[in-house]
Amino acid sequence: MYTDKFKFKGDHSSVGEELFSEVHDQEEKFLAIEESVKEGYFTLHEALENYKIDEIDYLPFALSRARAQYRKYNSQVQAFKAISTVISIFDFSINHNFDSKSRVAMTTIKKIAQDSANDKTQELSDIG
Amino acid sequence: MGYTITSDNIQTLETFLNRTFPNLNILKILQAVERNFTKTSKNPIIRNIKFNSLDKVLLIDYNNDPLDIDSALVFVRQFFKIKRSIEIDHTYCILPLAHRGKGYIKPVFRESLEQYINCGAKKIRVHAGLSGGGYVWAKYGFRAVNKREVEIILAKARKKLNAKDFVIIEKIYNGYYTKNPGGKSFPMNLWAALDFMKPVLLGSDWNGELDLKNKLHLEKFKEYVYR
Repeated sequence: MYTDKFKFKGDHSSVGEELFSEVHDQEEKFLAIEESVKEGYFTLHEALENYKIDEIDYLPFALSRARAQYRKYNSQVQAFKAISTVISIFDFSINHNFDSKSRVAMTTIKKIAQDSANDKTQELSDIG
Repeated sequence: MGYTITSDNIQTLETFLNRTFPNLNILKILQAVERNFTKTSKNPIIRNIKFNSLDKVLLIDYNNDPLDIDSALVFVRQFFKIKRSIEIDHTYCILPLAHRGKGYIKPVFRESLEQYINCGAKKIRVHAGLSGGGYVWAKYGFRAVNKREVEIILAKARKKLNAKDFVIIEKIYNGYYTKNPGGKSFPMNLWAALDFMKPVLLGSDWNGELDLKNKLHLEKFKEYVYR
């Protein structure tokens, strides 16, 4: 039997390599960060560190993933939700690396953004 | 196309397909294979279809009776009807060395995936291990079915990795199996996306599955295959 000449069963690795030749490593890392945080294996900071991705590089991915959810809101709520997402990506740095003045500023902006987004979301759902 | 069709009974292939795998058009898969793969081998190709209506299994075996893996042109798929669900075993897909990476794979996978979706298949199974397949299939969304195989990789990683890196992969392992004690869908992608896991996974050997009923997993795989 010809299959006796192969050590293992399965589709050859070159098949996978060709199939996924246009997928960048970074995309896989972004998805792994998202999943590992969602499942509770890591905090966002731990995941970024483990997968060696900078906050600033992860930011566009996080915003693009949240975009579908934002779409149901008007632009005012979208703006506040987007600000909350941006700040949440930098949460660890804000608390550990920012100088005290910037930390206070960011914490204030975060609170305003979250409160405003929640208020407006509430209003929209009341209307709906 | 020159396929020899054998079966355990007198049922025709058409009847068998209509009853067991309705909406699966294997002709389209076979045509894609002919268009893309046949030109890659000078040796004659052996084409067999076998089906068994009792076990509800369909086998496609297309090969050039290779002498070794470098000259192999092999495409083997098995379709199983288990209770009411359809599972497909990606038993073998190998192109001769000189024809790898030339763009012949995607059209066959696109057509296959379309047919899997048409017939409502639940899973694609693959044995990830052939020539580095343990890394590649982990990276692109196939999940490990067998906890014992995951444990073997974990034990290998313990020997190869430094303590700090090992803690990271152990956390994923513990996290998953604590939440899913009998879990059959270990997220190998979370290991494979860690740079230090590549050498560990390259030599690994495990059974994986892609859940076609999981919208996220299917969409991701489909997007890659159609890219």
